[in-house]
Amino acid sequence: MNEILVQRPRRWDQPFDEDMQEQQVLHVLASPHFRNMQPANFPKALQLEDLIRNDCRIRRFDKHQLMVRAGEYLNSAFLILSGKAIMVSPPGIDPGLWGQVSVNKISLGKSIKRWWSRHRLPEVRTSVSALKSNTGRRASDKGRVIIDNVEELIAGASCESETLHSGDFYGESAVLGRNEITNTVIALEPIEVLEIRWQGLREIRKREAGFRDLIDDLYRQRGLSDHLLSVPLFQHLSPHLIKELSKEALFEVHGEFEWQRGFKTISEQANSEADYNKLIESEPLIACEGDSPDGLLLIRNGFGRVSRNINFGHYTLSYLSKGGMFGLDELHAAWLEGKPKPLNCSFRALGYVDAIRIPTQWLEKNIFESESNEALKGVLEESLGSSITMPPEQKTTPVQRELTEFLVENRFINGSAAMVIDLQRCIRCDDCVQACANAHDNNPRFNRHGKSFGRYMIANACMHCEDPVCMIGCPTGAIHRAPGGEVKINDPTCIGCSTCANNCPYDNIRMVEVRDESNQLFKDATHKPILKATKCDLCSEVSGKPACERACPHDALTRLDLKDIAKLSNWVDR
Amino acid sequence: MRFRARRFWNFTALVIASLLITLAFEIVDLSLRVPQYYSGWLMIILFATLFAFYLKKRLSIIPMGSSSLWAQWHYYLGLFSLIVFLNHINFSVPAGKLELLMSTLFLLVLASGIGGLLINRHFAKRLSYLSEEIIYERIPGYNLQLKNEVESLITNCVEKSGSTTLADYYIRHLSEYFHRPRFIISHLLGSNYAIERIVAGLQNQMRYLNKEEADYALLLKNCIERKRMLDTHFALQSALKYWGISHAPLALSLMIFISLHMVLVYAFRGAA
Repeated sequence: MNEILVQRPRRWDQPFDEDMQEQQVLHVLASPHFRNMQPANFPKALQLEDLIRNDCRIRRFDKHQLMVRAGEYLNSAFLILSGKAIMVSPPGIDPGLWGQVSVNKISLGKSIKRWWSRHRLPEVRTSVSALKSNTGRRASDKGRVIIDNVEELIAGASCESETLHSGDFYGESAVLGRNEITNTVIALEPIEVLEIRWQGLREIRKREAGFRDLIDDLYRQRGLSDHLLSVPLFQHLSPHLIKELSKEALFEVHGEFEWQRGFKTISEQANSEADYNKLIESEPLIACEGDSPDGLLLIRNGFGRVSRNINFGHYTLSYLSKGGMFGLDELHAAWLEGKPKPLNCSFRALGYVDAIRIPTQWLEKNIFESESNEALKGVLEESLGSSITMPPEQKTTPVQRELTEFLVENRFINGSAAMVIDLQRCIRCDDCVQACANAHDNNPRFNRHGKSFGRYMIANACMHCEDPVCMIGCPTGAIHRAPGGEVKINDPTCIGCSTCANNCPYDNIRMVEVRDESNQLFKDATHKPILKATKCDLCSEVSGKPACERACPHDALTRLDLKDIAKLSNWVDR
Repeated sequence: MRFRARRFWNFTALVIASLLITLAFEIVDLSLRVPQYYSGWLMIILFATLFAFYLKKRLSIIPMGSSSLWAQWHYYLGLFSLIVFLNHINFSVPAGKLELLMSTLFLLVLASGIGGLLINRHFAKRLSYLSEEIIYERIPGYNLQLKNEVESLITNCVEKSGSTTLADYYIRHLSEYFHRPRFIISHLLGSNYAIERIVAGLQNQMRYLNKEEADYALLLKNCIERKRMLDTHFALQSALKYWGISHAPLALSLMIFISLHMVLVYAFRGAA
């Protein structure tokens, strides 16, 4: 096969903003936080100026212009350089004012045209050099939203707000936690903002202790109050009590943030039931069965396993993810009976858990004892009813229990759109693969293969994880969260470093060699092929369900959020 | 809706539609009109709809609803077309040669469709019971890999044991088994007879092997089991993949004959 020699794509071939000139870089260097940084802390290959030039951009917003809307997934944090903005906390202003988070869909005509002109050869690219990236487009150019009566709306919505001034950050919690942003930010006057994409933020944070402390403190403060407001149990509390709770609550992190590193090795080594028990025991223990609960645990990020000791093994009852609570039943029972009540189950971090601990005394005083607050009483009863620490036989079917074990063991609970295939209905016709290929220039973006639980297979297709660890370490930001939450790869900015593919614990990202239309492979000066990372994008550009799901004539394939065990067991029990 | 409930309601709708259409043709007949004219056109519409499923599968890029919904329509309209067809031929064997040929073709298409559906349901279930899921296109590669593995195992056996008893047996009785997919029909029928014979043959050799060879024979037995799984996958997946080879061309031929039939009917309608 012939080859085309090209320069291997590099991290900063495509800067975040091509208009970022020397003058702008100097302007940023003189701004709050940056002016105190020590260039000596940065290695030669990653100079602070270069990070600003390539991973930052300056954006300007008009008075009353919407800057970030709650619910969006961000790939950048923002630092206000000049001007004022208002950050509105949940429940916030009616999102109907600016419409839903927009996802660009291509027209039917365009998708037919794309299908008609698809290449016969696999993985054809016109060029491998960094093209004008989608992420590099100025957001202000599209969908600019002005909200004239901001102050009135905020007053009317009775929600908390905070005025942001020069030197304030926003979006840092969402970026570092790989979550959607919970606040809406609107400019109160013409404003200048520095947008730092998370790769740059990560590098600066790693090398500048003062900057790291600032970002981490903000992450803790804002993360805490935002999370408390999103928990139904606390939604009926007054802002004063929420503030008090923010001070009382303890912020805890268990396990490793980059948990995927060890997971692959450990799971490959686990073959027997005894190995699985050892695996469970090696998970960081957050609360132990039989101990008295030391406050209520609220899960902010990550996943945890709820299990019970049965003879010599551990029985997984359930798992908790973002929004989950642990220990409420026991704390409530202890308060009712007036004596300590031991925990029914153990709670362990599945890789990494970011939790908030609510002190028992505060909970008793403000939640259990607030007889007068009817709304709160209702929510409490509901929360106690849905508690997972009840005996398993009372709450779940055998299918659910076995499924839970399988999903937790393999960390599939991370998947928000996992491809589940019913092998007793799948006739291996590969219509799903063909449909996927049709939607992606003749290149299927998944492998109809994967781990099975009885007749059900979780195929090797990107699950668009709640915690997309594949994004950790991408040097260019090619892999990112789309506004709708899908994890996507921007092909032109991918430099083929394979970091995302190596990070994915489920082997759902494939590195492919790329070629031009005349079947000549792109290679660098050392004749090594140029690689690109590829994976399922959930057909997010096309209307309707993903092509694979639409194409299955035998009801054998679906895309499911595996955190929703009820939905999964409904699908299983068809 | 659960599959069982869906099947019940679809069958109920089919029975009701069949009774209604038969009644409608009776009324047409009583009103001294030619019911074949109506049943013929209805069949053409039905065939066009059935054929559209094939197009829908090919044009997956166009969002036209889920294929599973289309498949349900395809199955039940296919069965409904049998009722319309029986009405069309007036519940009797057609007299003309072309009509007889078309009727045979229609029944073959229907039989291949129903047969295919049964194969789909039954074989997919049997595949799911196998210990490992294997992609069809990878089977030849795995077969080759296994054959090489077995051959190196036999070579090692000769070197380590200093005896050729197992190697001789392999060459005479087993090399062919590992050479290509075997016992396809047995695997399709779900019979273990052929494979049990192979295993029993090796078992009978155990008494003639020395200790080292016996150890290798056990490894060889594992390879036989693996080959059995590969062959089962090959047989069942081949059937699933290629049943359409009978259904689609037959359906296409039927469409061609229907067009010819229409031309002839309209050409000679004055004489009818």
